[in-house]
Amino acid sequence: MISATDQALIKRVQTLKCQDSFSVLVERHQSDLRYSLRQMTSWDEGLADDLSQETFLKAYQSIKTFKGSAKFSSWLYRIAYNLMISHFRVARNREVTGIEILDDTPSSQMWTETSQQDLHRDLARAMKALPATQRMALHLNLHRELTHSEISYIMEIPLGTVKTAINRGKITLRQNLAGWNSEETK
Amino acid sequence: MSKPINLDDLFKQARQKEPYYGGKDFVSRVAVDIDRREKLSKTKETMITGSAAIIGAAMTYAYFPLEVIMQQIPTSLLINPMTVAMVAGITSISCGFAYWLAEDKSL
Repeated sequence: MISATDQALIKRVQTLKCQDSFSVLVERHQSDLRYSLRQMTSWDEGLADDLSQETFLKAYQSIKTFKGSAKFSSWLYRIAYNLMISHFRVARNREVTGIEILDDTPSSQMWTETSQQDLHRDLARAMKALPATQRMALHLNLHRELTHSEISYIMEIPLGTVKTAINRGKITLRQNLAGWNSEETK
Repeated sequence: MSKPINLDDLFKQARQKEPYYGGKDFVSRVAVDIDRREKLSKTKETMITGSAAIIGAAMTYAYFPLEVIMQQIPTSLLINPMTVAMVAGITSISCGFAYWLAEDKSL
Protein backbone atom coordinates (compact mmCIF):
# COMPACT_ATOMS: atom_id res chain seq x y z
CA MET A 1 0.00 0.00 0.00
CA ILE A 2 2.77 2.43 0.95
CA SER A 3 4.41 2.13 -2.47
CA ALA A 4 1.21 2.80 -4.41
CA THR A 5 1.26 5.95 -6.50
CA ASP A 6 -0.70 9.01 -5.48
CA GLN A 7 -2.93 8.49 -8.48
CA ALA A 8 -3.82 4.93 -7.49
CA LEU A 9 -4.55 5.96 -3.92
CA ILE A 10 -6.69 8.89 -5.05
CA LYS A 11 -8.66 6.58 -7.31
CA ARG A 12 -9.38 4.31 -4.35
CA VAL A 13 -10.52 7.22 -2.22
CA GLN A 14 -12.69 8.57 -5.03
CA THR A 15 -14.40 5.29 -5.84
CA LEU A 16 -14.42 3.44 -2.51
CA LYS A 17 -14.04 6.29 -0.02
CA CYS A 18 -11.11 4.27 1.31
CA GLN A 19 -9.86 6.09 4.41
CA ASP A 20 -6.73 3.93 4.68
CA SER A 21 -5.62 5.07 1.25
CA PHE A 22 -6.27 8.64 2.22
CA SER A 23 -4.21 8.16 5.38
CA VAL A 24 -1.28 7.05 3.22
CA LEU A 25 -1.66 10.23 1.18
CA VAL A 26 -1.76 12.31 4.36
CA GLU A 27 1.32 10.56 5.73
CA ARG A 28 3.14 11.17 2.44
CA HIS A 29 2.38 14.88 2.09
CA GLN A 30 1.89 16.15 5.64
CA SER A 31 5.47 17.02 6.45
CA ASP A 32 6.01 19.23 3.40
CA LEU A 33 2.68 20.96 3.89
CA ARG A 34 3.23 21.54 7.61
CA TYR A 35 6.66 23.01 6.94
CA SER A 36 5.36 25.27 4.18
CA LEU A 37 2.56 26.53 6.37
CA ARG A 38 5.02 27.22 9.17
CA GLN A 39 6.93 29.39 6.71
CA MET A 40 3.71 31.12 5.70
CA THR A 41 2.54 31.79 9.27
CA SER A 42 5.77 33.18 10.70
CA TRP A 43 6.47 29.82 12.28
CA ASP A 44 3.23 29.64 14.25
CA GLU A 45 3.30 25.87 14.71
CA GLY A 46 -0.21 25.57 16.16
CA LEU A 47 -1.80 27.58 13.40
CA ALA A 48 0.24 25.82 10.71
CA ASP A 49 -0.85 22.38 11.95
CA ASP A 50 -4.48 23.46 12.27
CA LEU A 51 -4.45 24.77 8.71
CA SER A 52 -2.75 21.59 7.50
CA GLN A 53 -5.39 19.45 9.20
CA GLU A 54 -8.17 21.54 7.70
CA THR A 55 -6.49 21.25 4.30
CA PHE A 56 -6.56 17.45 4.41
CA LEU A 57 -10.17 17.44 5.60
CA LYS A 58 -11.20 19.70 2.75
CA ALA A 59 -9.19 17.54 0.36
CA TYR A 60 -11.00 14.40 1.56
CA GLN A 61 -14.41 16.03 1.28
CA SER A 62 -13.81 17.32 -2.23
CA ILE A 63 -11.54 14.59 -3.59
CA LYS A 64 -14.10 13.73 -6.26
CA THR A 65 -13.44 17.11 -7.85
CA PHE A 66 -9.72 16.30 -8.24
CA LYS A 67 -9.29 15.46 -11.92
CA GLY A 68 -5.57 14.74 -11.89
CA SER A 69 -4.62 17.54 -14.28
CA ALA A 70 -2.22 18.88 -11.63
CA LYS A 71 -0.08 17.10 -9.06
CA PHE A 72 -1.88 16.09 -5.88
CA SER A 73 0.59 18.16 -3.86
CA SER A 74 -0.21 21.24 -5.98
CA TRP A 75 -3.89 20.67 -5.38
CA LEU A 76 -3.23 20.42 -1.65
CA TYR A 77 -1.25 23.66 -1.72
CA ARG A 78 -4.11 25.31 -3.55
CA ILE A 79 -6.54 24.33 -0.79
CA ALA A 80 -4.04 25.31 1.91
CA TYR A 81 -3.43 28.71 0.32
CA ASN A 82 -7.14 29.48 0.14
CA LEU A 83 -7.63 28.41 3.75
CA MET A 84 -4.69 30.53 4.83
CA ILE A 85 -6.01 33.58 3.01
CA SER A 86 -9.46 33.11 4.58
CA HIS A 87 -7.91 32.68 8.00
CA PHE A 88 -5.86 35.86 7.70
CA ARG A 89 -8.85 37.75 6.35
CA VAL A 90 -10.95 36.75 9.35
CA ALA A 91 -8.08 37.49 11.70
CA ARG A 92 -7.54 40.90 10.11
CA ASN A 93 -11.21 41.68 10.48
CA ARG A 94 -10.88 40.83 14.15
CA GLU A 95 -7.84 43.07 14.28
CA VAL A 96 -5.77 40.33 15.80
CA THR A 97 -3.27 40.01 13.00
CA GLY A 98 -3.01 40.73 9.31
CA ILE A 99 -1.62 39.24 6.17
CA GLU A 100 0.10 42.43 5.14
CA ILE A 101 1.84 43.68 8.22
CA LEU A 102 4.14 45.95 6.30
CA ASP A 103 5.37 47.85 9.33
CA ASP A 104 6.57 44.64 10.92
CA THR A 105 9.78 44.53 8.93
CA PRO A 106 12.39 42.75 11.00
CA SER A 107 15.38 44.88 11.84
CA SER A 108 18.88 43.74 11.02
CA GLN A 109 19.62 43.95 14.75
CA MET A 110 17.19 41.09 15.34
CA TRP A 111 19.44 38.46 13.77
CA THR A 112 22.67 39.40 15.51
CA GLU A 113 21.03 39.43 18.93
CA THR A 114 19.99 35.81 18.61
CA SER A 115 22.84 33.63 19.71
CA GLN A 116 21.47 30.38 18.29
CA GLN A 117 19.95 31.30 14.99
CA ASP A 118 17.57 28.95 13.32
CA LEU A 119 17.51 29.25 9.57
CA HIS A 120 13.88 28.18 9.19
CA ARG A 121 12.48 30.46 11.86
CA ASP A 122 14.58 33.40 10.71
CA LEU A 123 13.40 32.90 7.17
CA ALA A 124 9.77 32.69 8.30
CA ARG A 125 10.24 35.84 10.37
CA ALA A 126 11.75 37.69 7.42
CA MET A 127 8.94 36.49 5.14
CA LYS A 128 6.35 37.79 7.57
CA ALA A 129 6.87 41.31 6.27
CA LEU A 130 5.82 40.26 2.76
CA PRO A 131 2.23 40.30 1.57
CA ALA A 132 0.74 36.78 1.54
CA THR A 133 0.83 36.58 -2.27
CA GLN A 134 4.56 37.34 -2.45
CA ARG A 135 5.31 35.12 0.52
CA MET A 136 3.58 32.12 -1.00
CA ALA A 137 4.92 32.68 -4.53
CA LEU A 138 8.46 33.07 -3.22
CA HIS A 139 8.27 30.00 -1.02
CA LEU A 140 6.82 27.81 -3.75
CA ASN A 141 9.35 29.02 -6.28
CA LEU A 142 12.55 29.14 -4.24
CA HIS A 143 11.92 26.46 -1.64
CA ARG A 144 9.62 23.98 -3.37
CA GLU A 145 11.14 24.74 -6.78
CA LEU A 146 7.78 24.84 -8.52
CA THR A 147 7.41 26.38 -11.96
CA HIS A 148 5.61 29.66 -12.52
CA SER A 149 2.68 27.86 -14.12
CA GLU A 150 2.35 25.50 -11.15
CA ILE A 151 2.35 28.49 -8.82
CA SER A 152 -0.20 30.18 -11.05
CA TYR A 153 -2.45 27.11 -10.69
CA ILE A 154 -2.01 26.95 -6.92
CA MET A 155 -2.62 30.62 -6.26
CA GLU A 156 -5.18 31.05 -9.03
CA ILE A 157 -3.45 34.16 -10.38
CA PRO A 158 -2.08 34.94 -13.88
CA LEU A 159 1.51 34.02 -14.79
CA GLY A 160 2.53 37.68 -15.03
CA THR A 161 1.32 38.31 -11.48
CA VAL A 162 3.32 35.31 -10.26
CA LYS A 163 6.51 36.67 -11.81
CA THR A 164 5.89 40.14 -10.39
CA ALA A 165 5.15 38.73 -6.93
CA ILE A 166 8.37 36.70 -6.97
CA ASN A 167 10.52 39.62 -8.14
CA ARG A 168 9.05 42.06 -5.64
CA GLY A 169 9.23 39.47 -2.89
CA LYS A 170 12.91 38.87 -3.58
CA ILE A 171 13.71 42.57 -3.32
CA THR A 172 11.88 42.99 -0.02
CA LEU A 173 13.27 39.77 1.42
CA ARG A 174 16.84 40.78 0.54
CA GLN A 175 16.29 44.06 2.38
CA ASN A 176 14.79 42.26 5.38
CA LEU A 177 17.65 39.82 5.56
CA ALA A 178 20.37 42.45 5.33
CA GLY A 179 22.71 41.91 8.21
CA TRP A 180 21.65 38.33 8.67
CA ASN A 181 24.55 35.92 8.83
CA SER A 182 23.85 32.51 7.33
CA GLU A 183 27.07 31.12 8.85
CA GLU A 184 25.51 31.32 12.31
CA THR A 185 22.55 29.17 11.47
CA LYS A 186 22.29 25.76 13.07
CA MET B 1 29.50 46.80 4.03
CA SER B 2 27.93 43.33 4.07
CA LYS B 3 27.47 41.58 0.72
CA PRO B 4 23.88 41.15 -0.49
CA ILE B 5 22.28 37.88 0.53
CA ASN B 6 21.99 35.17 -2.11
CA LEU B 7 18.39 34.01 -1.83
CA ASP B 8 18.87 30.96 -4.03
CA ASP B 9 21.63 29.69 -1.75
CA LEU B 10 19.65 30.53 1.34
CA PHE B 11 16.57 28.65 0.19
CA LYS B 12 18.73 25.77 -0.98
CA GLN B 13 20.19 25.59 2.50
CA ALA B 14 16.70 25.70 4.02
CA ARG B 15 15.55 22.95 1.66
CA GLN B 16 18.45 20.72 2.59
CA LYS B 17 17.92 21.30 6.30
CA GLU B 18 14.12 21.03 6.14
CA PRO B 19 12.92 19.03 9.13
CA TYR B 20 10.70 15.98 8.64
CA TYR B 21 7.61 16.00 10.82
CA GLY B 22 6.57 12.57 12.04
CA GLY B 23 3.11 11.90 10.74
CA LYS B 24 1.60 9.21 13.01
CA ASP B 25 -0.18 11.58 15.40
CA PHE B 26 -1.11 13.96 12.66
CA VAL B 27 -2.55 11.23 10.44
CA SER B 28 -4.66 9.83 13.27
CA ARG B 29 -5.89 13.32 14.15
CA VAL B 30 -6.99 13.82 10.54
CA ALA B 31 -8.66 10.39 10.47
CA VAL B 32 -10.57 11.10 13.70
CA ASP B 33 -11.68 14.47 12.36
CA ILE B 34 -12.86 12.91 9.09
CA ASP B 35 -14.91 10.35 11.04
CA ARG B 36 -16.40 13.04 13.26
CA ARG B 37 -17.43 15.19 10.30
CA GLU B 38 -18.79 12.23 8.37
CA LYS B 39 -20.98 11.30 11.34
CA LEU B 40 -22.06 14.89 11.71
CA SER B 41 -23.01 15.16 8.05
CA LYS B 42 -24.91 11.85 8.25
CA THR B 43 -26.82 13.08 11.32
CA LYS B 44 -27.59 16.33 9.53
CA GLU B 45 -28.73 14.42 6.45
CA THR B 46 -30.95 12.15 8.57
CA MET B 47 -32.46 15.14 10.33
CA ILE B 48 -33.21 16.91 7.06
CA THR B 49 -34.71 13.77 5.51
CA GLY B 50 -36.70 13.04 8.69
CA SER B 51 -38.06 16.58 8.88
CA ALA B 52 -39.04 16.50 5.21
CA ALA B 53 -40.77 13.15 5.73
CA ILE B 54 -42.73 14.44 8.74
CA ILE B 55 -43.80 17.60 6.92
CA GLY B 56 -44.72 15.53 3.87
CA ALA B 57 -46.71 13.07 5.98
CA ALA B 58 -48.53 15.89 7.76
CA MET B 59 -49.46 17.56 4.48
CA THR B 60 -50.54 14.27 2.96
CA TYR B 61 -52.64 13.46 5.99
CA ALA B 62 -54.34 16.85 5.78
CA TYR B 63 -55.16 16.71 2.07
CA PHE B 64 -55.30 13.01 1.22
CA PRO B 65 -58.75 11.35 1.10
CA LEU B 66 -57.65 8.70 3.57
CA GLU B 67 -61.15 7.54 4.50
CA VAL B 68 -62.11 6.92 0.88
CA ILE B 69 -59.01 4.80 0.38
CA MET B 70 -59.60 2.92 3.63
CA GLN B 71 -63.11 2.04 2.49
CA GLN B 72 -61.69 0.48 -0.64
CA ILE B 73 -59.54 -1.97 1.26
CA PRO B 74 -61.28 -5.37 1.09
CA THR B 75 -62.42 -6.82 4.38
CA SER B 76 -61.98 -10.38 3.18
CA LEU B 77 -59.20 -11.91 1.10
CA LEU B 78 -59.83 -14.47 -1.58
CA ILE B 79 -56.85 -16.67 -2.31
CA ASN B 80 -56.83 -18.12 -5.80
CA PRO B 81 -54.01 -19.02 -8.24
CA MET B 82 -53.99 -15.49 -9.70
CA THR B 83 -53.52 -13.91 -6.25
CA VAL B 84 -50.66 -16.29 -5.45
CA ALA B 85 -48.97 -15.52 -8.77
CA MET B 86 -49.38 -11.79 -8.21
CA VAL B 87 -47.93 -11.92 -4.68
CA ALA B 88 -45.00 -14.04 -5.92
CA GLY B 89 -44.36 -11.57 -8.74
CA ILE B 90 -44.43 -8.51 -6.48
CA THR B 91 -42.14 -10.25 -3.95
CA SER B 92 -39.63 -11.15 -6.68
CA ILE B 93 -39.55 -7.60 -8.02
CA SER B 94 -39.11 -6.20 -4.48
CA CYS B 95 -36.27 -8.63 -3.72
CA GLY B 96 -34.57 -7.81 -7.02
CA PHE B 97 -34.83 -4.09 -6.31
CA ALA B 98 -33.47 -4.52 -2.75
CA TYR B 99 -30.53 -6.54 -4.11
CA TRP B 100 -29.76 -3.88 -6.71
CA LEU B 101 -29.82 -1.18 -4.03
CA ALA B 102 -27.50 -3.19 -1.79
CA GLU B 103 -25.00 -3.76 -4.60
CA ASP B 104 -24.96 -0.16 -5.75
CA LYS B 105 -21.75 1.25 -4.22
CA SER B 106 -22.70 4.85 -4.86
CA LEU B 107 -25.51 4.69 -2.31
